[in-house]
Amino acid sequence: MVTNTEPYTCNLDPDTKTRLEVYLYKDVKNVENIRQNIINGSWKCSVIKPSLIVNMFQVAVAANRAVLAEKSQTMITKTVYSELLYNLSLTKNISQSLSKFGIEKDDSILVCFLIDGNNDVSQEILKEIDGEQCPISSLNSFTNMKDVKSTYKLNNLKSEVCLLDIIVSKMVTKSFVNH
Amino acid sequence: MSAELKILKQGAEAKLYICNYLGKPTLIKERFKKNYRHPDLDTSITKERIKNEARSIVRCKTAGVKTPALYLVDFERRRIYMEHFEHSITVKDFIINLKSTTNQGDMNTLDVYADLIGGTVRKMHENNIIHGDLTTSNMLLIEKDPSNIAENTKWLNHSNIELVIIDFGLSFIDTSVEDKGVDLYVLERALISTHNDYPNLFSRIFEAYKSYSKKNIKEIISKYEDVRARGRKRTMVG
Repeated sequence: MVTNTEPYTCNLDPDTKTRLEVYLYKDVKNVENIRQNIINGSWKCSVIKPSLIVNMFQVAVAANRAVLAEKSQTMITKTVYSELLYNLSLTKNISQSLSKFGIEKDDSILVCFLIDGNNDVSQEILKEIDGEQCPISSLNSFTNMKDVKSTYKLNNLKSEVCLLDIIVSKMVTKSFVNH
Repeated sequence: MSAELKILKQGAEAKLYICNYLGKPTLIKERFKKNYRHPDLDTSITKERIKNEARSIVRCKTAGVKTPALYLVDFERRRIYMEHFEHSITVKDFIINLKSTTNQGDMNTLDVYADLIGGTVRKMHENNIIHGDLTTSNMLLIEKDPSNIAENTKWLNHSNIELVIIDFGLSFIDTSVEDKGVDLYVLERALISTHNDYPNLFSRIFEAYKSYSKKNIKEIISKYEDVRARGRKRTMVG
């Protein structure tokens, strides 16, 4: 059986000339090692829990704000990769944001690269991941709706409004709206 | 990969562009610099207005009122990037197009939309969102599930239609009954001037507004009547 393991890609704001690429893995055996590489900064990528992601567009919106903030030197966190995680959450607390959306003991992970022209380190990093790559189309089987709803405070939401729509709208207004 | 910005409209406060952004049809609302203002003041006024507009849009979503999704709020470029509804019609154009087909079924559809508008405006007011510019140009109809029905009949298929409220540029959050009364009055005036061939439209909308919820309704009605008697602005005489 041939499965489609193409990454999710999205061109970010044209002024940044950056492209987002996201890969999904399950049954990852070296999570602790990956975590250490992210924390000490040797891996230039963001690694996210897929359980809190309803759609890749959610990651694209967060990544887009991260690269724009890097360009205008208005980042809240230290690197563009942590900025991406920070932008996914609604809290202004940095360590809470990173621990919520970053990986801990999860064995499913989303690996996000921000590629601007010549520097593409994705293949070097990906070969270090000891897990099974999954098609992006299977993302929803990793999503935990209950966690998504509590993270984005959507529990008493009137039905009709689309979930993704309200999640990204809350994400991009968190600096000036108390959600 | 440079974005092609297509100008859609230019108003007194902002330019609207459409483009594809992050893979989605996007509307950019850019508030331009006003040279008659001191630059610092201009920056802070613009920033406040952008925040205000974005805040109301998100608040509507939480209240269950459909508004464009926000993709980016960019103070530096003075822009809001939001969902663009490519396949939509303004309520204004919908009503104008009705004239050519005056059968009873179409009139019933208009009643359905009037009720929807009344309920939606009430939902906003219950959440203290004052739109500030309620006109039929700032209301869009979109399909819940995209169909292949011909353009001239698909907007009549009301069971598949959703109402979207747009342009929160003049909106604000306020609990006062006065502001709700003025908001309703603005809508009434807009309907009279744009759709004078449907004189009962506002009363139908207002009935739906009243019946959506009983909370505070007496105060709102009486305030609306006060506003109506004197006009939108409070008299400052004496």
